[in-house]
Amino acid sequence: MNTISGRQQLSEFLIVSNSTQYKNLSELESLLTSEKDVFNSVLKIQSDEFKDSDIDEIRVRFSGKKSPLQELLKSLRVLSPEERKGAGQIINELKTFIEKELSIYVVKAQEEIENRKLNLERDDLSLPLPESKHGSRHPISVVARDLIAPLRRMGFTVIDGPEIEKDFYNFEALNIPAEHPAREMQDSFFLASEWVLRTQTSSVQAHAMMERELPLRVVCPGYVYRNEFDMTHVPTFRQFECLVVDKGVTMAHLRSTLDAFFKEVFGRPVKLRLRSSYFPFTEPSAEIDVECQQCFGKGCRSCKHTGWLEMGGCGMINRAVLEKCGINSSEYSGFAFGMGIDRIAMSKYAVSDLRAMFEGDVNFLKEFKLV
Amino acid sequence: MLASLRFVERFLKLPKKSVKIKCPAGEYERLVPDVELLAPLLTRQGFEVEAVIYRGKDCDGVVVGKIVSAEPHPKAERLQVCQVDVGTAKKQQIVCGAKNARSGLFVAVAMPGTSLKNGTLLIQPTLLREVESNGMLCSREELGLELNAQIDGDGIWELNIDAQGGINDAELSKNLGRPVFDVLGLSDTLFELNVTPNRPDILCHYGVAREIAVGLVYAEKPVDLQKMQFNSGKNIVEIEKLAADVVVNSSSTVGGVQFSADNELGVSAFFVALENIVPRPSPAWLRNQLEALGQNSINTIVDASNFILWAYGQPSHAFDVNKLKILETGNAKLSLRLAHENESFTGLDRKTRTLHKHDCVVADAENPQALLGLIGGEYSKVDSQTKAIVIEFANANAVAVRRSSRRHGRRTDSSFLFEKGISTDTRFEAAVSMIELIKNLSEKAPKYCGALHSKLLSRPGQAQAFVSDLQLKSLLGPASEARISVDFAGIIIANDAEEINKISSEFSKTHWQDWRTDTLKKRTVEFLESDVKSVLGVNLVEFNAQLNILRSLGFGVECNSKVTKASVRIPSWRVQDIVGMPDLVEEIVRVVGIDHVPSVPLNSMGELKSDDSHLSVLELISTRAASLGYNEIAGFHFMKTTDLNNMGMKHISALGEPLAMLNSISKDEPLMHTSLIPNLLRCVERNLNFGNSVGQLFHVTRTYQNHDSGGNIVFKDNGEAIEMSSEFNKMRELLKSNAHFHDYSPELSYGYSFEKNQNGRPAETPRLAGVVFGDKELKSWQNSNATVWNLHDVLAHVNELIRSAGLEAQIVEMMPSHPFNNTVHPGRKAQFVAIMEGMEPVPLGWAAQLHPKVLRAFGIETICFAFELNLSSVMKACAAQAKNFKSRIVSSLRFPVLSRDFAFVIEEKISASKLTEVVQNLLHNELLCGEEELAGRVPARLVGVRIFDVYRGKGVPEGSKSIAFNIKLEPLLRTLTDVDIQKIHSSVISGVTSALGGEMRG
Repeated sequence: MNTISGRQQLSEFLIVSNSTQYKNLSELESLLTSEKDVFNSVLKIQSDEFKDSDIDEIRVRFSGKKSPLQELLKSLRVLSPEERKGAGQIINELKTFIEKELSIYVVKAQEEIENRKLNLERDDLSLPLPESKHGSRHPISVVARDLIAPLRRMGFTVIDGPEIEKDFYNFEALNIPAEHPAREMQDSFFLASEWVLRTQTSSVQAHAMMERELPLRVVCPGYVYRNEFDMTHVPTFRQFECLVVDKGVTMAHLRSTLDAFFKEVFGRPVKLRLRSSYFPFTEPSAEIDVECQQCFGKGCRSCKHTGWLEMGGCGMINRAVLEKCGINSSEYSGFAFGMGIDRIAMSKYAVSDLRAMFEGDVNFLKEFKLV
Repeated sequence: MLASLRFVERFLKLPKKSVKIKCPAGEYERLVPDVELLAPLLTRQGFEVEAVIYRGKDCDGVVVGKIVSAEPHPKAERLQVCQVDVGTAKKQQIVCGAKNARSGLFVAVAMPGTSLKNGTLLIQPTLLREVESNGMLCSREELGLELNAQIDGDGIWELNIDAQGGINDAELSKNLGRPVFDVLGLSDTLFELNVTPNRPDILCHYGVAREIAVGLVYAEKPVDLQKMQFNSGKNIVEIEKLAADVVVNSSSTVGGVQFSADNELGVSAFFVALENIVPRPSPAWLRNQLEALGQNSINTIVDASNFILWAYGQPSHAFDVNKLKILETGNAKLSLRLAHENESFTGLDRKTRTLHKHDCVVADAENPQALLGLIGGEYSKVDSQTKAIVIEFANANAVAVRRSSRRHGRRTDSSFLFEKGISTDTRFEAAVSMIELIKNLSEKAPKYCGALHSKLLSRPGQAQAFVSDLQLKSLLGPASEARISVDFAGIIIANDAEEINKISSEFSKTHWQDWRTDTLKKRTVEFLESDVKSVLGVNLVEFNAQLNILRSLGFGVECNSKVTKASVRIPSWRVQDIVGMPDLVEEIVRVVGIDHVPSVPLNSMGELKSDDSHLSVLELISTRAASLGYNEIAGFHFMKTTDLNNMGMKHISALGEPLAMLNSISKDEPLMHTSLIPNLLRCVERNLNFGNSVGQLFHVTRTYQNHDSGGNIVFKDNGEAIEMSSEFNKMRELLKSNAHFHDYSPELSYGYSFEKNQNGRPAETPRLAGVVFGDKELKSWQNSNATVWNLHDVLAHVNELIRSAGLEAQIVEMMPSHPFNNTVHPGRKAQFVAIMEGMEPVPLGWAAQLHPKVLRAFGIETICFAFELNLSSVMKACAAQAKNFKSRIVSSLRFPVLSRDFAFVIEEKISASKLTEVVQNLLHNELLCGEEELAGRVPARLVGVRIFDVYRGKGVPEGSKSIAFNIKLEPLLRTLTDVDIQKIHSSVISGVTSALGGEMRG
C-alpha cells in the first residue's frame, strides 16, 4: 500500500486554497461546510511526524488573522442585511467550534511532539558519575566526635588542656613517682627542664581539679605522646578521659556511667566486664573489657580468642591524687575512665596498620565521607 | 610472667579435672589442673591470663616403648628393624636409623597417626626400603624438647637416663604404652600472666600459688599452701643463724681462701659461702621444670639458683671462688661498686661490654665479675670443675638495673625481677632453700662456711623502711626485747646487744624510736565496716567476709569485739603497694570480682556548665573545610630542622623558636612543628608517589613555640640535645629588635589552662592549614578539558572557613615582612586580616600559590596552593567583633531583589577591591539605613557588589581594563520604583566616573 506521510498529507491540505468568495447564504454555507471538512480531515492526519512548526501552521491556517474564516467574516457585507445576521452567526459557530477543537488538538499535539523528543533523549546510565566535591573528616576525628557525643548528653563538659606539660601535671599530681618507668626517656618525650609532652590526657584532670569549680563532670579528649612506633602504636595519638568529682561518688556510679556510655557508643546494650588492674592515679583500678562484637564472646582472631576486647582503664581517683590537686579527699571522691581513640578507630574501620592513618593518602581518606 | 602449674603444685594442690586418654595400653584418666576454674580466677583478681600453653599437647600419641629386638635392616646398612613393646600383645615393628637403638632400651614411640613439629611431621605406617615400619622412635628434639648435645647425644631419647629427664626402668616397665609426657612428668599447663607493676610479688611461683590460694579460699575450696621442703632432715643452716651470721661476719673462709666484701653502693647484699661443691648435670625433675619455663639446664648449682629465682622471686648468683683474684695475703675480695668508665666486662653470654660509670658491678680485687642484677661474668662462672662457691643475694636498685639493662641491650630474668622491685624479705628464706636444694642435688652435702654481709663503705646509717614479717614480730613486742639492729640492708635481727651496738653505732636511740613508730604506722591500716561501701557504693560482702579475704591475702587482722572496726597489718610483700584504706577495698573487690559492683546512676548535675569555647569553633571550621572538599589528615606534630629552610625561610626561628625534644623518636624530626605546612607537603609528595595526582588536604591541630604568650623564651637550653642551641641563641639576638611573626606571633597563641598566668608556658596555637594540588577538575566525559586551581578558589575557601567561625575577614596582599613571603608565588599571595573599629588589624592567616622552588625542595612537581589560619586569632577577632557589631539586619525576602549589571573601563592600576569600595560607598549614601522611609533615600539594603568579568584587549585601550560588576539590592519597605532604579543607576555611573575616571561601557 502506498503510504503517504502525515506531513505530506498536511501540506496537500494546506496548499489548497479554497475560494473565500460567496454571493449568498447558501454559497457561504457550502464554503463553511467544506472548511469544516478540511479542518476535521486535518485533525485526523497521522501526526507522529509533526513538528512544532506544523502545529503552528495548522493553527494559523484555521484560526489565524488570515484564515478563511476571517476572510469569510470580512466578506459578510456582500450579503443582504437580513442574511448577514444569520450568516455571522453560522460563521462564528464554526469559528468557536474550530477554536475549541484546535486548542485541544494543539495541546495534545505539542505534548506528543515533546514526548517524542524526550523519548529520543536517552542517557547512558553506565557512564561514570561526576566526582562529588566533598571532603572528609579524618576517621580518628570522627570516632573522637562520636565517642564524646553520648558523654555530653550525660552531662559531661568537654574541656581541653595544654599538650606541653610540667612534670607536676603529667606525673607528680597523678601519683606517678619519680622513679617510675614512664618517666624514663624511653617512654616519654622530654623537652628541656623536665617538661614533657603529656603522656596521657589525665594531665588535664589535674588542671581541672586545681583550676575549676567542684563538682566536676568533665571529659578531656586530646593528643598524647609516647615514644613508640609500630603497627599498633604511633608516637602521637588521641585519648579521652572522663572525670567526675563530687560528694559521695562511688564505683557503682562509675559502673553505671560506663554501661550507659558503651550502650550509646555501640547503639545497643553491650556486655561489659570490669577486671581488676592497676594505675597509679586510681584505686581501685580496673580494665574495661567489652564483649567482642565480632564473635559475641565465642572467641575469634580479633579478640585473641578471649571473647573480650580491652577498651580502656577506669577506677576511683586515688586519694593521693585528690589531695595533691587540693581537694579534700574525706569530703570529695571521684572516678575516672579513659581510652585510646586511635585504637578504637582502628578496630572500627578494620585498619590493620595504624600508621596508614597518618600517611595522608587521599584515596584512603576519601573512604570516610563523613562530614 | 610464665607460670607453670606443675611448679605451682609444689606449693599448692590445685583442683583437677580428669581427661580420658586413649593409648595402646588402653584408656586411662589423666588429671589436669582445672584451667576453666583457675584462669578466670586469676584474671578476675587482676592477673589476666593472656594465654594458656599446654606442654606436650600434641604428644599424646608418643608412648613409652621398649625395644625387644633390633636386627640389621636387610637392605640398608644404617637402619635397624626394631620390634617394640608398647604394652600390647603385638609388637610394633619400627625401622630406626639411630645408632643407639638397641634391644632393651626404653624409648619414646610416636604411634602412627601422631602429628609432630606443629603438624609438619605426620607419622604413618610406611615401607622403608621394602620393610614395614609402624611408627617412629623419637629424639628429644623431635618432640619439641630442648636438646643438650653433651648429655642427650645425637640419637634417640633414652628414657631411663635421669639427666635426660628420664625415670627408672621399673616405672617405665609399668607404663609401657602410655604417653611419655605423662609418664615422665613432662606434661604441664602454663599460664602467660599479665602482672601489673604494683605486684612484683606475683613474679614467682610461690606468689602465684598464694594468689590462687586466695581465690580458692574465697570459692570455698580446700586449700593447703605449703613452702617447699627439700629434705626431711635438719637444715644445713637455719634461717635465724644465717641472718645472724650476716650481721656478725665480715669475712669468711672458703676452700682456704679468706674473702670479704665491700659495699659502696648502699644496696642490701649478703654472700653465702659453700665448699665441697660438686656440680653435675641436674636430675630429671629439675631439668624438666626449668625447660618447661624456657630455661636451659646447665648444672646443679646454676639450676638451683634459677629454680629458686622462679620459686621465690629472689635472683642470686654463684661465683666460683677459685676463679676470683686471690691477693698475696690469700684473701679474695668482692665489692659492690660503680663501674669505672670504660671498664670492660664479659658476661655469661660471652659478650664483652664496655661499662658506663653508672653501672653497678660486683667485682673481685681486679675486675668486674657480674653486672649487678643483670648478668654474671664469664670468667667466674660455675662449671663442672668448681669446688667452692660464694652466692650473692643482693637487692639491686630497680632503677639502676633498669638503666643498665637498657644501656647494654640485655634483659634477663634477674634484671626483670629487680626492675619490678622485689621484696627483700624473701632473701634469707631463698638462701636457706637454695642451700638445701644444693644439698639435695649433691651426692655429698656441701659445707656451709658462713655468710657475710658486705661492708658499707659509704652512706652509713641509711635505714631502708623495710621490715620482714619475722622482724615485725619483734618490733611489735616490748621495745626492750627487740633485738634488732639497723643497717643499710634492712633490719637484721641479732642475738647480742654488743653486736647491735657494733653495727648500728650511727643509728641513735631516739632515731630508732621514731623509726619504729613510723614503721609500725606504715604497716598498719585502720579499716571500718563502712569503708567498702564508701568507695564502691555497696558492701558486696559482709564485714567478716571482707576481713577473711584480707586474712587469706596474708594481712594480719585484729578486730574489735563488735566487729565494726579492724586494725590491718600489711604483709611484707605488699608494703610498697598498700598504703591506705582504698587499697584494702581494692584487695577485697578484686577477690570478690570488681565486675560485681552494681550500677547506680549518677545524680544529675545541678548546674549546666559550658564546654571550653574553642572546641565548637574547631569542630565547626573543620566540618566546613571537609564540606569544601578537603580531606582531613592526622600527623605527629614534629618537623625536621631543614623544613623551614626548604620553605624558603631565612632561618629556623622564622615562625618563632621551635621546641626541640631531648629524645625524638626519629633523629630526622627532632622539633615540634611551628607550622602545619611541611607535613602537608610531605603528604602531597607521598600522594604523588602513590599516583594520586590531585587532592585537597587539611590539617587542624596545634603548633608549638619556645616562647610564652608574652613572647619570652621559655627554655634557655632549648636544642642542646640536638646541638642547635647556638643557632637558636643567634636567632634570639637577631629577633629581639626585629621580629615580624604576624599570625605566628606567640602573643596570638591560645591559653589552654586556667592557671593564674600563662607565663613560662610554651605557646600552643591551634591552626588549620590546607593544600590543594593538581587539577581542580579532571577532564571527563562532561568536560573535555581539566580545569586548574587558581588563587581565588583558595581565597574563597579560606574566606568561607573564617565566615563559618562567624567572622568577616579582609583579604590584603601578603606583606613582604610576612614569614611566608618567600615561600610563595610573588604575585599570588594574600593575607587575611580582621579589621575592627578601634583595634589594630588582627592577622588571621594567609593563602597563596607555593613557589615552585619550595615545591621542588619537597619533591613536588605540580602546582600547589596552600593556606594556614591561626584559629586563636580567628577566635580572638570573633570575640572582639561580637562586642562592637555594627549592624545586623534580619531580613526576609518580601520583595523581589533588584539586580543590575554595570561595566566600566578603568585604569589598570585600579584594583577590584577599590572599585568595589567606591560602589559600596556610593550606594551607602543612596540607601536607607533605618526602619522608616526617608525622603531621597532608596529603601533597600545592599546585598553585595560582585565583579563577574575582567576584560583586557580589543576595544579597551592599552593600560586599561574593563570590569563588569553586578549589584544586588534587597528592598526593605516596598517594591522599588523606576525612579528608585534610575536614581541608583545614575548614582553608580556618575560616581564611578568621577571617583575613578572610569567610562561606562556600552
